[in-house]
Amino acid sequence: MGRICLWGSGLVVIAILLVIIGLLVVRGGGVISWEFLTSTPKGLYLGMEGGIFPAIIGTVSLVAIATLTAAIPALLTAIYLVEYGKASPLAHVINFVIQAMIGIPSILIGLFGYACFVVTLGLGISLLSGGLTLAIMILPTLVVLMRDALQAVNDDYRLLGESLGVSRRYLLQKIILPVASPHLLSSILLAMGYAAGATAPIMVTAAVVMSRGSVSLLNPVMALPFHLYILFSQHISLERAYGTAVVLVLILLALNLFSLYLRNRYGKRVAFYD
Amino acid sequence: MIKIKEFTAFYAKKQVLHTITANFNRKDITALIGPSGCGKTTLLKSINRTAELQQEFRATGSILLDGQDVYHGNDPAAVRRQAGMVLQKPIALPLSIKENILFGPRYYGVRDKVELDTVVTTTLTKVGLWNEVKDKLNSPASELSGGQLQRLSIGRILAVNPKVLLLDEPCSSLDIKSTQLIEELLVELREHVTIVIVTHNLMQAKRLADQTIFMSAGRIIEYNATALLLEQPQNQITQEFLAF
Repeated sequence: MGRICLWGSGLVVIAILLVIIGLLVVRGGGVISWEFLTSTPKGLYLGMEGGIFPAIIGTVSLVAIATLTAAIPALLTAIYLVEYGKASPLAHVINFVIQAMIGIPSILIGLFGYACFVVTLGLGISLLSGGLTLAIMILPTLVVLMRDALQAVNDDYRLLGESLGVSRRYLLQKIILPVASPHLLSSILLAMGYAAGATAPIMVTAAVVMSRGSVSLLNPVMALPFHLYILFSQHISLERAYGTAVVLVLILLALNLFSLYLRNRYGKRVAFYD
Repeated sequence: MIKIKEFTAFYAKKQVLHTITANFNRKDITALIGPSGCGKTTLLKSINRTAELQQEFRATGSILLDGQDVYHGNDPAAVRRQAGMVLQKPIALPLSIKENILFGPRYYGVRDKVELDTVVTTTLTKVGLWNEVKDKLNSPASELSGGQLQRLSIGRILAVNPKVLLLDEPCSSLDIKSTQLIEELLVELREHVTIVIVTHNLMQAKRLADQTIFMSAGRIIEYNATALLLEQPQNQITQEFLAF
């Protein structure tokens, strides 16, 4: 009986995912065309016609800035936690803070980004403000994922490095980081997916209904989740909202699948070397 | 040579070594035997300061390596280079066979390609692996068998020219043939390095060691030439351990 419940729960999860994707494709698949992907929004209420090209570019740019900004500090923090801090009081504090940061609602991060980047630093509603806000949002998640990736590296290597008297840094460069790299990369991809889908942090820091001109750091941008939100909350075009959602979901799915692929390869690599 | 003087050690509040005093002579093999948890591995790890990597390790007394107190000054890495340790489980670094040997030398600044190649050849020859691996130096070390890997591990240590070789039950996961090869290797190496080996195998101690130390509950109970200690133990605890 217990086993049936477990199986059932698993099936329900899969069913929910399939229903969501199915619904999106049925409702929005019709609008997806080459033109939809490559042209700008048009129509009396913007978005009734035309496409979502600027939103795709905007989302890609936002995610790129967020990832570039957050990845290095996250990696350094993870290295500190696993290789240097270990059980030190500072490491405990950092772990606690990171855990607490993960729980911050994304709209609060948006509010902070608005106060800090848009107003105080005077960056305005812009690609840069939005990217940095997203960076703050994904930073704690990235630290946790990267920390776990480093912790997953066989501890024998550290023991061996110590018994040879080589420095931690040498061991990191030569053994630990190369071994962990597929897992670390997979962490970054997951965080990118997280950033791509987030709406609240960019609503008040970066996103607009229509962007003019080319993409630039200090200009506002369109973004897929925000465009989707506008299309359906303003009843502009439900079909196009679903179409936008399909594109967003496909991007997220691609990032997740690639991340999964890297982790599987990592698993094989470990088996190969042990 | 190694002189241990009134060395005591604690993990947190638990005392694991009680005023240990002993000498390990150059060109000798010393075996540490005793029941599990008697402190022999801790003593071994104290010599190259890897015991202190455990949390809350404290020690008093001194351990002299060629007259230098290893606990004087704060450079455990330098001590560990001079007194390399072979771990119980053979470990392949995720590198080629060649790079496993060069892991230490590269760290200690050997850059010259000819010199590096020489280190690889002489070290692998020394540990008796050269003929087996000379055609696959660039293959992953993980392709080697357990016994080969343990010899590679010994080579990885020897490549940085230590004065002391510490071994923590190096044959416990190996078959008889591999064990025999390692023992022959150690006998050859005793000409060049001081060897201290922790072993559970009394026959191994008998075959290899010039002197043997029997420990129990963190104390040295008996300390003598191997043949004497094994054949005519003086202490009752030793007698009971050996009779078992």
